[in-house]
Amino acid sequence: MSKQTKIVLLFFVLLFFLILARLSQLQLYENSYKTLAKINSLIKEKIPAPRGKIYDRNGKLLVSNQPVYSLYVIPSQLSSFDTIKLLNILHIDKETFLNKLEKAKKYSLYKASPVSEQYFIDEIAPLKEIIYQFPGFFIKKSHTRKYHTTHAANILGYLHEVGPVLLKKDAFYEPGDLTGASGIEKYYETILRGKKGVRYYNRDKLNRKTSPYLNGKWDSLPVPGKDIHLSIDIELQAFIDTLMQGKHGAVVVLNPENGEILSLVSAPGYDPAVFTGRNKQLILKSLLQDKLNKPLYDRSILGTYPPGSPFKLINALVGLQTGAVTASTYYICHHGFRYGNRFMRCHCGANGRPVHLNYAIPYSCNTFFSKTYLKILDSYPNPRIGIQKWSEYVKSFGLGNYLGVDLPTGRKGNVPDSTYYNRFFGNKRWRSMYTISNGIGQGQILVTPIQMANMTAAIANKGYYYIPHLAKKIENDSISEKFKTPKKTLIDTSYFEPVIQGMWKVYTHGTARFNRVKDIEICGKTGTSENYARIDGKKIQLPDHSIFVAFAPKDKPEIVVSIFIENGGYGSVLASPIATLIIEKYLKGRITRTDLYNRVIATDLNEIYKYKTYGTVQKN
Amino acid sequence: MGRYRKISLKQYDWFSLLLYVILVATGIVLLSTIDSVQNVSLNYAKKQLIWAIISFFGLIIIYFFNVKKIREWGSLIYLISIILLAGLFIFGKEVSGAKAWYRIGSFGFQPTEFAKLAVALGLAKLLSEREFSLNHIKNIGKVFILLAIPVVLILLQPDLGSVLVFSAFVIVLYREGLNGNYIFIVGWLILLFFLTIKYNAGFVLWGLIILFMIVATGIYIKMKKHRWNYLFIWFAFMFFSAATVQLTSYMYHHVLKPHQQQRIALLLGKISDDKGVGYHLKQSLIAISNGGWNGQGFKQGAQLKGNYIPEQHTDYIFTALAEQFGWVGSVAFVFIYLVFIIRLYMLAERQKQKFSRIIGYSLASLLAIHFFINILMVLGLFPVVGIPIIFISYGGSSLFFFSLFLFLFLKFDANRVEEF
Repeated sequence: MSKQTKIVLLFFVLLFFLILARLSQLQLYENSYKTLAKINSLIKEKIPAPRGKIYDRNGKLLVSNQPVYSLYVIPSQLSSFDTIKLLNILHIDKETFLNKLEKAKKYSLYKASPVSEQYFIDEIAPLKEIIYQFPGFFIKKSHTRKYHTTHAANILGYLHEVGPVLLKKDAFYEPGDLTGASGIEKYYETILRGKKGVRYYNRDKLNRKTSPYLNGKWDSLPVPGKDIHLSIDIELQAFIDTLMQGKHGAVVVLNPENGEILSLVSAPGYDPAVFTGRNKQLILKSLLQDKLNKPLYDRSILGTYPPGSPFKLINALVGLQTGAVTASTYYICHHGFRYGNRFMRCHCGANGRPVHLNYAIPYSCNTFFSKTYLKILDSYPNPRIGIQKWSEYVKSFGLGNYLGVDLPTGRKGNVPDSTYYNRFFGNKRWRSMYTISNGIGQGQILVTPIQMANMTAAIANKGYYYIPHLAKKIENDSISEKFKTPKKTLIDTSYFEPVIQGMWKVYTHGTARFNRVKDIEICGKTGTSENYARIDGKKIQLPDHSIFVAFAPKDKPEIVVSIFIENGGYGSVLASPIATLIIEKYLKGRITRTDLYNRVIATDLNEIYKYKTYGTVQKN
Repeated sequence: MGRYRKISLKQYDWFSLLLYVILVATGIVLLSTIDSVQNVSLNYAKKQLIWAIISFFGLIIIYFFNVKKIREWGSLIYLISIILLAGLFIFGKEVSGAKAWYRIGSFGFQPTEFAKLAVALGLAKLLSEREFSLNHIKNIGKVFILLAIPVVLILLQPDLGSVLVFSAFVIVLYREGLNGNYIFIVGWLILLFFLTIKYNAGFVLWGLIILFMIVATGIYIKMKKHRWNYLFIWFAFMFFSAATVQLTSYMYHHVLKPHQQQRIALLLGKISDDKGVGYHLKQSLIAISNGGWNGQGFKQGAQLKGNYIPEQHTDYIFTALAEQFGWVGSVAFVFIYLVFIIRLYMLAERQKQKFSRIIGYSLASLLAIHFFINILMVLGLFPVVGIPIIFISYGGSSLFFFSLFLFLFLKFDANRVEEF
């Protein structure tokens, strides 16, 4: 035998001893694996835990649970049965049924998979009595949501059956389990779902469960999910829903003192209860296909729009902070001003008179803010540094990035910086003048309604904000620390006073003076943003989007409102009245101006929306 | 070429044939226990039995066949196997992510199994050429190309397990005179590569530094002559190693894409995946452990009956044996297989012809690599790769071609006194 062979064989003999040692360790000494084998020899049954309830800020129950029944199958135990009889009771067609069976077989022959789900007790009762005629099938009781409100569907979200990806990723779930699909239900899934209980049974030769193992010594009880109290005032939410009927848009109401979201309305909304019961798939489909109303699209957190005039407030603040503007700075406005070979129009009405900051805010002077913006940028060595600094200030108001709201979706919006314009125009190939629209909140800036509300809260608080959030209290737990720590803007407290005075003047003298409310000092800012649509192949200008931000009372702000109404026209026509009604309702508990209220409710913009969506050719 | 002379049955090595029959029978019995817990009739045992019978016909054919011809056909057979491997990319059927099968009706054929035999024949033909020495770099190049073509084709399927199996031929080359230092250096680099990924560059570098210090001290104390020469060589070697570690680390973190990183990390057990590979291994260990001293008994055992082990009929067949027959059965089995492998090495060594020696050596090495990697894998001592145990695990192509391989070699062995 050659030397090499001896070495090779010696190596294999050593491996043999290694295997011997490992086998001895596993089979003769180790006991932990044997326990696991014992568990594997039992039938493990998980007991679902009741899902946590959801309340509003005043302790009103919004979402609870109700029992619901589903038919499951264990494919390996199937034998022949009367298919037609089963289908008649279940009210499903043969194809879906066979599909489900096929899926179940693919998942596992020995584990249970759902066949048809979400029957209420009276629907399933006839099957319960004759289930013995269908070997391999059994009925499992679980819970679905019960809704005590028809509002706030965008906040609450809904549940859906857990998908294959999550099923693989998270061992908590079994096929047929429900999990949060959107809203609070999704964001706080792990808090709401609780902990399942376990029961162990001995199994017989045919894989059927017999007696409880060790009389239930290893069993555990389910731990119910934790209840969540939202910061939402459901009455206010319903009130706003009513105000917004016939309009598309979003309303965000915050408490600036702590960042709690009092209302988050996306109009038109839908009833959260549509996602319970067996027809949820059909309803979901029809809602998804509703091109006109897009009810599932939460405009309050996903809609991104140019902020329009309310953004002038930020430019005023940045101007004051950087010294580009002081109380005595003024510009002359001639219905606008000329720059290069273009003209920016202005409706402030101060033709030829000097415009100071305390006039520019209430009358929304385009000239003043455009020139302020230019001066901010040009106070730096070049526009690239200027816009970089400017965007840092702007972003400190929570714009241009995810706010961190406790909802599973959101949008960043956009605050352009030097990188943005370098890409847009080419490196160093642009001047501050090119970006002048930023001065009046048009241009490339995009915000979501909730970002705008948060920005207003930061102004109301004179320099800081709390991340807006929906969870007010979680049972036996606390809300995230990030919602309790204030975030500072880069503007010093002292610079806010003139801006807030200006916002107050909006109601006393300015663009919203007709919407004053007795005894409440409201500060606000109207805005509009132009919008165009391509209809029948032509670019057509539609009525402006109506924008409004406000807070009240002036000296100790308790409420911030941000409103966005698609094609609502000039800000003071629709958005401002709605804001004052909301503020009045929240602070006083009732409204006095019923005429205004009725006028708002009666306003229906659906004709414009239909025109926008379908063009002149009307579809029913 | 001499005249064909009939060989009497007595000249066959009956001991290996006996072990072969015992192993195949063991495999079929184990498959029948796995079948017994399936509610659906999969009939692995029955199908394997049919393949065993087909293989037996192979024995008869080879008995009457003039095996001397095989040597001439070595290159042709090698070529056919390459064509079959390449053809997979066009005609192959994809099963669980790899194009490794030809399917004709209900009959499946895995050319990779054929390639193992064909490459052995091709290699034997090349190495047994007159004046062929593995000391020439040109010859090493030829061998390298001969092995690299099928390896690359199999890697592209992709079937990582089978690629690993081809390392068996390195043992053959070692026996045929390839300098052990080459193998040591390549092995050392591969080890560094995996250690770097499994732990991290810093960890391995510290290990290298400590190793360097210890050995350098040893050289300084022990070596009186040429002390500095040795120290320099040692330093250069360690420097080269450290550079490899750094390069590997850089490649892994900056060149590979995240999903590629994840695959390697999973393979090395760096990250565990409780539902996938990690789950298989855990259930495997539970089953082996559950066997205890003398097993749960025939067709008994929680893991077997609960059908907890995926692929128990192929890669994890050892767990069925370990759970039912315990420590006693497992050790006996591993011992018998080891004896079988050693016996084949001994037969290979007694060949007078280089060609038949290489055939025998390839067979023994392939069986050994399959066997040890598989057992170490199910015992959790080796990363999880899909490698079956030859003659035991379910698989028609594998059983058939390796039986043919064995019969062919035994015929050569029976013929060994003859001059070719």
